[in-house]
Amino acid sequence: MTALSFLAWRTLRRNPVRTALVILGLSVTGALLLDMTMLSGGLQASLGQLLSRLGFAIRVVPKGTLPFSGDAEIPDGDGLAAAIASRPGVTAAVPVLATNVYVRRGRATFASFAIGVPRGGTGVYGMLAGRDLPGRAAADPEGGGADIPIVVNENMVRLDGVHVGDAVVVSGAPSLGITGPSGALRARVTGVADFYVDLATQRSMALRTEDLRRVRAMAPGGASLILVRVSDPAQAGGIAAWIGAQEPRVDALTIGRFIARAGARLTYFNQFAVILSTLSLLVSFLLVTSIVTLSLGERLGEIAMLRALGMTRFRVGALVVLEGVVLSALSLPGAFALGLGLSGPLDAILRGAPGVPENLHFFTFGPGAATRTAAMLLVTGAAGGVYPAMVASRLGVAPTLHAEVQS
Amino acid sequence: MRRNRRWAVCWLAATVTAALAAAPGLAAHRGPEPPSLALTDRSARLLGVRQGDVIEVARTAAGPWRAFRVAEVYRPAEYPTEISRTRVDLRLHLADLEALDGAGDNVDSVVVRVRAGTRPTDVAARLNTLPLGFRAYTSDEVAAQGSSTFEVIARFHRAISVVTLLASSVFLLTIMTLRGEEMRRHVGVMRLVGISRRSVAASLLLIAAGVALAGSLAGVGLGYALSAAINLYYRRLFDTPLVFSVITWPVLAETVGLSVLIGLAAGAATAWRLLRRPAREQLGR
Repeated sequence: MTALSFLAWRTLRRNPVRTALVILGLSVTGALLLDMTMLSGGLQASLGQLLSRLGFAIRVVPKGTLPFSGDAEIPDGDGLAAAIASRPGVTAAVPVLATNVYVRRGRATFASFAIGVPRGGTGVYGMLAGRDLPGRAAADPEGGGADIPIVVNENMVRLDGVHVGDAVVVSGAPSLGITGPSGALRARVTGVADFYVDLATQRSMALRTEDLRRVRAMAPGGASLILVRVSDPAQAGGIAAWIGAQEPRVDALTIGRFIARAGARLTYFNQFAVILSTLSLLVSFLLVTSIVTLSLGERLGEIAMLRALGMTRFRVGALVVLEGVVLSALSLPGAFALGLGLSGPLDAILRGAPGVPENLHFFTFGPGAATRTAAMLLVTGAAGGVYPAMVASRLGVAPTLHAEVQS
Repeated sequence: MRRNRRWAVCWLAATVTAALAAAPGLAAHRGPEPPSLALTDRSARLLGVRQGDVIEVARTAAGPWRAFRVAEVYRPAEYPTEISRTRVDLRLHLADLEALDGAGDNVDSVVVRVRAGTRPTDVAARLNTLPLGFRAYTSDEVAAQGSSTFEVIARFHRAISVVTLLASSVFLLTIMTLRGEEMRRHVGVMRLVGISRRSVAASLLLIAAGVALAGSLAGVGLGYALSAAINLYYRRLFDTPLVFSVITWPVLAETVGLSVLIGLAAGAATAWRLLRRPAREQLGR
């Protein structure tokens, strides 16, 4: 192997310009391959990281849906959450109600996504400033006196100038004259929070579930989503199965199932990545094959000499295949540098699409993507060397040496 | 904020199917004639219902359920933004929808037709001065918003095409370098017999452009095959007559033109490398 490596290295060093160009070409195609590997499943990986960070192992949603993907509700979500919370291994089950409301501040009215939670400190959002929602209802349950507490996101601060301590009106309809059965409640901003999956300009707010129901004139009990925290993540599958058996109208999604269901809606990116990965591998294969074959044509005499000195056909073939592998290996640093450099701008382009939450990324680099890319490039380098290796190993020694002498 | 819209159909994927699973009661529906609704052909196929059938619809899975007769199954105008939707899509009369929702007089959007000669932008601007908490858009603005996803995808495709262009340029340059090395002696002889540098360089440029042209023509053939495969696959996948991949004359001209330009650049680089050496050196002396 050492002798083969020495010979392969010498061959590649013989024409540095050519070798450099091949490595450059393989680096570009390798960069494209890396980016496509990162894209294929990148969004799911990013989503998985985000979901894991939130700390909820199970999400209970109305059957066939994803969280906040519609107005579907879990009937008696509060009761189901209480039943889940009583299970061994469950540390919390938080029923979340989600809908859209209107916020009026002075003469300005703007729409906001609102989530209702039973109390503050549930972990559904992360506090950035001020105080979280209180644990108990306000003194006046009719809403006639005390302002209801709300927590807003940074977009509302940045875009609408809403700050901690400000008074606003939260309503189910855009105008006082068009309220219908919805209510309008005075509210006081107690804090600013990160809602984790906000869109770039989405206004979000959190308030207590009972307050949100009053605003939207909703019947008690229903929930859009139940977030379940477990003490041991290994138990998540069993608890999810129990929930599904208890209430057939819901889906209890572990993080894996959630990502699989969301991934089914991202077929475009996966298929695009597969097509471009295949093309970049094909170009790499052609590049290695053509260059190694052409370079072989220049040193047929040398190969015949090696054969005459006793090198077996197999070892001659292995030498040529090794050249392809070495070319691929040398292109890896360039491929990774260029691929990682390109992934940032490409990610920024795709994240410009409407409806993409701020914390999600399309291109996610990880050990899996790096290993797959390196392995595919090396295998392609080896495959690219197969045809010239066959040519080299079948070479007739005497006629080749004779032709060399005559030329 | 899309959650507000189309609320009536959001839950149907689960609930209407569930209702139909308990279908014996549906077929045997009795009582006053139920209100009518319209279903898209895809939804009708998904639910296994036909015109005249009765289905039950509810705001939530907990009910209350209301019977509706399928008055029409229609093929809607296809919008690229909606093809990936797999849920059931149905149309109800506004009054029926309001009754089902129980939310009273509440709509998601109002479509306004302006008189001939009136500028839609002026009407939208006037409406937006009203402090009623809505936002008026012209049709052009709605179209621009609706197509923004595709503009992003197009930008992404352009960026990827720049990378592939770079890869193919390096590929061609490498091939031409090898070709130039093969031609070294030949070029030396040509120079010694009196053929000018310009003629030698022109021949190299011609070779490179020819290689690029042949490659791009092969690429066009491959592109047509891929485009046909993409259309076949996605039309079946989404059950739609929409065309997903179109090869136009400007695209062809741009592709072939760029290929030839890259070929000429690669040929020029090769010619420069070859012709900077003296003729004797090229002959190995």
